[in-house]
Formats: sequence, C-alpha cells, structure tokens
Amino acid sequence: MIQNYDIIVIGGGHAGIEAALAAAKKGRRTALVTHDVSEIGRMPCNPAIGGLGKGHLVREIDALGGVMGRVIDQTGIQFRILNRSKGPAVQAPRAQADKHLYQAAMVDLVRACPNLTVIEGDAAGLFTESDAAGQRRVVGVALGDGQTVGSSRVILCAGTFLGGLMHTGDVSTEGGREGAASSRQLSGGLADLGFELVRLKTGTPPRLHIDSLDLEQLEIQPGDPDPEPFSVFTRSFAPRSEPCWIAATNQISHDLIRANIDRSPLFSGTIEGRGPRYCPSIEDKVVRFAERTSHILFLEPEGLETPEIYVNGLSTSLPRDIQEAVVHAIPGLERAEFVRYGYAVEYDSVPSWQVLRTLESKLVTGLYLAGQILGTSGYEEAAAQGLVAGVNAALSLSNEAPLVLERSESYIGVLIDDLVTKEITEPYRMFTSRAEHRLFLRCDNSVRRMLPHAERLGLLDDAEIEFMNERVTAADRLMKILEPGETGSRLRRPEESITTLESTSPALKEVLAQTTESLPPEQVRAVRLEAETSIKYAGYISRQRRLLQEQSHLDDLEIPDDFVYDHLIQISSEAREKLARVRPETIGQASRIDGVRTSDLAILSVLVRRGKIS
Amino acid sequence: MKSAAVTIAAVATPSGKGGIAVVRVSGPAALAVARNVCDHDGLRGEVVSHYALVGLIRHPEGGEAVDQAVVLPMIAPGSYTGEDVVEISCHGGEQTARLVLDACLSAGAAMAGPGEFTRRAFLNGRLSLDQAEAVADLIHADDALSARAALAQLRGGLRRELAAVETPLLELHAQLEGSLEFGDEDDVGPDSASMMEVFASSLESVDTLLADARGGRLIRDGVQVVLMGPPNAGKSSLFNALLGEQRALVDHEAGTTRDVVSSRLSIEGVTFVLHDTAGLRDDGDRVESAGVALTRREAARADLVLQIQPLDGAPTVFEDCCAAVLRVGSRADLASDMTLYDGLDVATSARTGEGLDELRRLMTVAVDAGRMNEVARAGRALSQRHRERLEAARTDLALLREQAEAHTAVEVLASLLSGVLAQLGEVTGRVYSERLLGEVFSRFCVGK
Repeated sequence: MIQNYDIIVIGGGHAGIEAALAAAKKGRRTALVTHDVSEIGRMPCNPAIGGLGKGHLVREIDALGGVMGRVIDQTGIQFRILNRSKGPAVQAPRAQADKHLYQAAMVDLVRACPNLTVIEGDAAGLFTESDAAGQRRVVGVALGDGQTVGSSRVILCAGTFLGGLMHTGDVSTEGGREGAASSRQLSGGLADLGFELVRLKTGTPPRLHIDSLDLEQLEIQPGDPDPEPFSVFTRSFAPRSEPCWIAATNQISHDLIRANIDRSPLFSGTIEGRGPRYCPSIEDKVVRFAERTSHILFLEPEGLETPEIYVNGLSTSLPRDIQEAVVHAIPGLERAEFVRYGYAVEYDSVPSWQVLRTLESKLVTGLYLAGQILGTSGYEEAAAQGLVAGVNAALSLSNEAPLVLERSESYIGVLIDDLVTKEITEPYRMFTSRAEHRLFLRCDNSVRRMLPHAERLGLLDDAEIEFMNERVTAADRLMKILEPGETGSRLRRPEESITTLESTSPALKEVLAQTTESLPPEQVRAVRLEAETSIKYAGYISRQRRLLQEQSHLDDLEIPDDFVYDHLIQISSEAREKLARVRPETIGQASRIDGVRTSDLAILSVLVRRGKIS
Repeated sequence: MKSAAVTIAAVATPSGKGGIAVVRVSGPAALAVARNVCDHDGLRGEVVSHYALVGLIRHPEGGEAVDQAVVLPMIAPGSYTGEDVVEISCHGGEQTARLVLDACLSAGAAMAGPGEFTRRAFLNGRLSLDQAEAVADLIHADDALSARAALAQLRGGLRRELAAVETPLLELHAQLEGSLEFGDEDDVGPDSASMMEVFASSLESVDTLLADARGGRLIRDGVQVVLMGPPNAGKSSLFNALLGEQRALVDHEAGTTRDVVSSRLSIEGVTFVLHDTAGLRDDGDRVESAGVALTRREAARADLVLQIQPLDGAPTVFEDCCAAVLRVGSRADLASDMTLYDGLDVATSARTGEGLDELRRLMTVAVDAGRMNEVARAGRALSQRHRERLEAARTDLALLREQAEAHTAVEVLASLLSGVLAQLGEVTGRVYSERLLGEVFSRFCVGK
C-alpha cells in the first residue's frame, strides 16, 4: 500500500519536530515517521535547553517560527541567564525543563498541527531512482512492516539511532537510546547509496533518586529571580523556579575511576567512535585533566513530578558497580540510589560535507539530513537544522529560493557553514567562539536579525510578524534617544549602562519608560539591552566588519562548479582531498576548511583567476 | 598568465654589456626545446640533472649556428620553478642572448611574461610568498644594504621576528576564548596582570619592528635628501660636488608638472637620493623671500634636509621642518666672519673640496647608517605592505590595551585581539588575503 506525501520526516526528535512542523505550516502534506509517538520530543540527555551558544540558536529558531523556544517557556522549571558577568554578546538563556511536560507539549503540538500525519513505525530503507543523467533522487521510504510511503522529499533526522549501540561497562545492547530499538537497516541502505558513514559516540550520566540525596550538604543554585523567556512571543511569563544543586567529585572518586579505567568501553577500545571533546565523559576528564582534584557536578531535577535527578558532568560508561562507588564517594551522595545508570551510545553518522547548505544531500536529490545524524551534539543544534531542512524541502517543492543564512547574520548560519565546510571529527557543539561576528550575533538582537527571513518564510502569522516589527522599532526609538551627544558618550563608557544613566536623570528614565510602555513586560529588559549594547558596541562592530570585509572579498571569488582538484600537485594532498570532498563554492569557504593552508589558498586563487582568463 | 602546460623562455640576465647572458627555459617541454637547439648526447635519453654540458646552439630552422654555450638542465622538481628547467649560458651581449632566445622560441617555447618564472616557483611550492617578495627585492636592490635585507628575508628573518610577537598573543586569545565558553562557574581565563603584560611587551616588539621599518623604507627606497636654501646659496655646486664621480647615475622623474632631477649617491653602502628644490634651479618667477621654507611636496619627501647657508652673505632664517636637519655652510673659501653663523654642522667649499668628506660622514650618521645595516641583516627591513599591516596592528594593539585597562567586556577584548592577529597574520602569511598576490607579482619584470 503506497501512501503519498509531499514531505516525509524520519525521526521525532528535536530536528524531526521542527522539520515536520515547518513543512506542514508551509502547507505541505507532511508525514512524521517515528518508532513511538509518545517519545516525540524526548530529551535523552541533559534535561535543559539553551546555554552558551545554544541559547543563541534557540532565540534565532524562535524568531524564524520554530517551536523550541515557546515550548521550553511553557514547560521550564528554572530559568537563568548565563555569563551575566561577562558581556552581552556571550550572555545566553538556559532553562531546566520538566522533561515529561516538554515531551507532552511537543506531542500535542504535533498532533494538533494541520497537514501533519504521524506514522508510528520503523523506517527501514529509502527508495530511490536514477534519471537519465545518472542523478539519484528519492521517491519513498520503506517501513519495517513492509509498507511503503511515497514522497519526493525525505528529511532524515534519525539522531543516534543509526546502527545504535549502547554500552555500560562490558554490557552492550543494541539501541538508539535506552529503551529504544536501533535502526540497523537504514544505515546499510545509506551506505549502499554511496554515503560515507562515520561512527561517533556520546555519553549520558546516571540519574539518582532525589530522596536518597543529602541535599543539606550541597550548595543550592537557584534560578534567576527575574527570569526571561526564550520566545519573543511568550506572554504572562511566570515560571516555576526549582533549584539545582552543586556537588563535586573528589580524589577518592578519581582514584576509583582511574583504577577501573580498563572497564570503561571508551578506553578499552570497545567503542570505536569519536566522542565530544567538550562534553567529555568523567573518565575522559579524570585522565586528561589529571592535575585537577575535583570536577564540578550539577544535580538537575528532570521534572516536577519525577524524583529523577540528572547528574550533569558525570557522563560515563563505566560498569554499574563502579558508577555506584564513584557516586557514593561524593559528599551528599553517600546513599544515592540509581534510577538509571550512565551509558555511552555509539552510532553511525553521515559526515556533513555530504550535504549542501540547504541540507539536501549531494548524492540523492530530495533527500535532506538534519540533526545529530550529521554529527552535531545538542537539541538546539538539531532543532536549528531541522527547521532549515523542513523549510527548504518545502520551498524546493514550489521552486522558491531556499533559506540560506550567512555567518555574518546568525549562529544558524555559522552552524551550517561549519557543517558543510569543516571536517567534523567529533560531535559538533555550538560555541560563541565559532562566530567571528560574535559581537553582532547577540541574543538581544535576534529578532532584528531574523526578521527579514521570518517575513519571507511564512511560518509566523501576521500578528506575530507585526510584533517583531514593533520590537525592532522600540529598540530603534530607544537608540535614537540614547545615542546622540553627551548621553551617548557616557553610555559608551564600559562602567555605564542605561540603569546608571537613569539613576542620575529621572527625566531620561521617564522618557525611556514611555517608549517601552506598549511592550509586554517580558520584552522590556531585552529591548533595553539591545539598545544599550548596539550603542556601546557600534564602534567595535564596524571595526570588526571592516576587517572581516577584507576577508569577505574571498567569499566573492567563486570557484567554478566543475573545478578539478585532483591534478593540483602544487597543493598538499591533504588539502586536495578536502577540497574535492567539500567542493567549496568560493575561496572564502575554502579558507575555512581545516588543512587548507594559506599557501594553498594563494595557489588556488591564482588558478581560479587564470581559469577565468583562459 | 599562461597555463602551466606551456613552456616559457626568456633572457634572465639584464640587458647591457656583460660577459655571460642566461636564457632560461621552463616547462614540460624544456628538455625538448633544449634538444631542438642543441645537438648534444647529454640531452638525449637519461638526462643527468644539474650536469652542465657545453654545446653549439643552432637555430632549429635552417641550422644556423648561434653560439657555443653551456647548457644546464635541471629536472623537476629540483629547479627554480619546480618544472623542468634548462638554462643556457651564452656569451654576453644583447645580440647573442636574443638569438639564443629566438632559437628557443622557434623550438617551441613561448615568451615568458614579467615575473612568470617566479610565479611558477611560487605556484609549485618552491617559494613562499614572502620569499617571492624577497626575490623581487633582491633583483631591485641597487645597493649592498638592500641586498642584504632581501637576502635575510629570503632566509625567513622576518617571520621569526613576528612569530615572537604572534605566539603569546595567540595563546592569550585561546585563553580568552576559553574563559568565554566556560561560563561563570569555572574560573578559567587569563588574569588581568598577565594579560596587560602580554599587551605591553607585544606593543614594545611591534614598535621596535616599526622603528626598523623606517629603516626598511630607507633601505629599499634610499634616503631622501632635500637641499634647501636661498637662491644663489651655491646649492647646485654643492650638489654636483657631493656626487663627484658618481654623477653617472641620474634618474629623471617623469609624470610631474615639471621635470625634477634627482641624483643617487652611495655613501658607505647606503643610497641617498638628492632632490632638486625650488632654489636650485633659477626659476625666474619665484618670489624672493628672506626666510626659506620647503614646499609641502618637498617636505613630504625629505628624510634629511640640508640647510645651505652661504658663508659669504647675511645669515638666513630657515623655517622649521620635521625631518632630520644638517646645517651646512657653503662657499667656505669665501667666508670672512664665521662668527656670524651659529649652529653650523659643517663648513664646505664646492670649489676646494673642503668639508665634503665630513658632510658625507655626517649624512650617514644622521640616518644612523650603522643601525640600518643591522636591521638589514636581521631581515627586519619591511616593505610598504608589511609596514601598513604592522601599523594597523599597532593601532589595534594600543586600543586593546586601553580597553583592557578600562575593564571593557572580555568579549570585546577577544574581538579586538582577533583583529590584531588578523593583521599580523597577513604579514607572516598565516592569514590569507588577496592583497598579497597582486602586490608581490606586480613588481617583477620579464625573465624573472
């Protein structure tokens, strides 16, 4: 039996959800294929959304019409702004989620979405056909039960499920994550189509029972007293503020880990995959930072109705008995009971140089990939890709120009450019340091930056777009008042802020209040921050832009589609290989590929020009 | 620019009379071309690289003998360009070299464009961009000092100096970025004191390099000397007397509203370029004035100003100028009362030769010739491109220090530091910019 859809999304994780909802909102008949409908939106690891770099992504997703921001606002139980003491460009929102509420909200959204059908099942393979020129295109998905679903656009968001294998100590089980079957066949199918696959790994920490913890001994980390929502559309924001607790490993636990390191699959070689450097397992940390006598741990509640506490910082695949010993050696956790043990999962990923900027694969027309399957790590990174893939699949059906964001305007742009250009050898996580335009790409101005795209994409309704415009206008008005003359020069001093200016000028305070009085209270702080930062940073931003502009000329130097790299003996073989794989569109993109040196670029530049002459 | 599949040829030695001229052939057909013009066993079969052969060069069409020459094959990649190269050393004289070249062109080579050999050397990885630049400098070097500077750069002197500046900054940058990524909890990141120290020492190093940069320009372009003084001060006589037998080198600078005569003078290996000024040529419609000032153009040129005070007339009032100044008395042989003139550095007479040696010595002291030599040797002589980048880096570095002192947010500091590193990186070649290529290769001429 063949059902036909405009777009099929495989996988109900964070990427799959955004992709499916976006596609459906653009009026396309969309199917979401997932093993278990009730598991849609599951947070298998950290019960939190946002953080450094990630929070920036969520703000952009929200401003484009994605759902992650809204849902976490509804279901979050603690909200904090991180890096408040550092600077406005690196400040980012983060929230602890009630995992079950988050998931339930996502399921509701998906069920209620017009044009969207959920198909509970296992995607076992892809159907493709070749045209006269030999170019492959996708025509459908084969389900595990034998059914076929037809479509010319398939978005694969399989997360960690491809060839998924979980490890706890010496016990290995097949599965994409705890309690879920892995997708073996799909991996094989991709390999058959010619995709190169690479094994990656990621780990997750144990969950402890809250009643078994001696919280008196631990330091409390409360939420912000004046929390800020993620979504610019959230109103009447009055979330819960549940505390987290801070604990730390100690020498005893470290010694235990070291003594049993050979029982850790990460070290015993059982796991081949490369893991994330910045979310290392506790085994990694203890070995690599041997001089540190303690590592910080955050104990985070997983929900209001659940006793499970997530031990952030203790990602591990050590055997159960060692996990217990290590935890029990920590003050406050002496009698901790394990609800779940930590485990590592290794999975097949599709190295991201195999997709275009639109996230369509180079090998198979109409096949898009998004999320952890491309080698990223994190719900937010996955959601951003899902949104882009979903939108682009829909746009391509109506022959409209795709959504391509630049590095200079958004973190999503940085993410995608990095994915298609750089060689991802370990799970990719967003950091603010990845963005050369960091001073401009802030959380406070994400609305302004995304607005032109939001208007074109059509994922938001008129009232929402109108509000975004209103917010931008409010910030403009504030800037007009604050920028000129004495006020501006004072504000530009590092020690001054709008607040300090107001304290010496009640008149100014009055005027500013009037300007923002029509805005919802949740947005006032953000708008003021945007105005203040834009003024303070204008000089630095334009200076940075000027410098980068000189580099950006390299982005104007296009490399022809049919440029052949193989014969270029002048360039190092490593560079040649990477160039041939990535097939950069411009010299600028080539300059961002690891392993391509400046001498290689100089040579490439001359050759490209020479090609233009002859 | 021809594709690398084309074999090129050109006369590599400068035109003029000389003992030997070299015609260089480079490309995939270099050996074939050589075989076509020179019938020698050594060029057939297994050709031994870098083994010189003596043979008769004949024009391939008609077989007319051109010259008995030394033919040196150099097989890729061990040649200047990285391609197969054959260098034919023939007897000097433009005529012979041209005939040999003609023979090669008829044998299948194409005429090389300016800088094409060096460009291929660069494209084939035989030279880094810095080194290619240095080759250009070496070719253009018309005094010992510039030659030494170019040589030192060819050997990587500049890169070493800059690496010493770059490294601590790169480390600091990594630390700053790290501190931004780990949030408020972990206290990772450079402390204020060590950060300020890095800025201070980097500034010092860049300032030293820039101070030497001035030395670099002087090395490359020559010390610009302007003679200033009232009409009839004897400037032209002094001008000629200084040049002495070196009068042979005279350039005419075209493209200005009137032809300006400058003459080059070499003293202790340093090139001085003496410039004609308003007073030197008897310009009828000039308004006479008691005080004498340099025109803006003349002042812009000047590294060293010789204020010429005629010793047989009333003391002249000279206006202040910014360059180094030497007060030179002229017509010392006609001087009556030396007490009239104070502050003279040297009294000279163009007619008797009195004081000229002393004047020349003072000129080299004035531009610190000793230091210039040291700079050249260390490879710290900087080109315009280097200087501009370094100056930009210096400005940013000073701003960075200022901002750090004012406790500006770390993210801003990190951004400014990126800018500094980008500027420095362009000089060392760590950062790629299209500017480099254009500048480097435009300076070449044919045959190089």
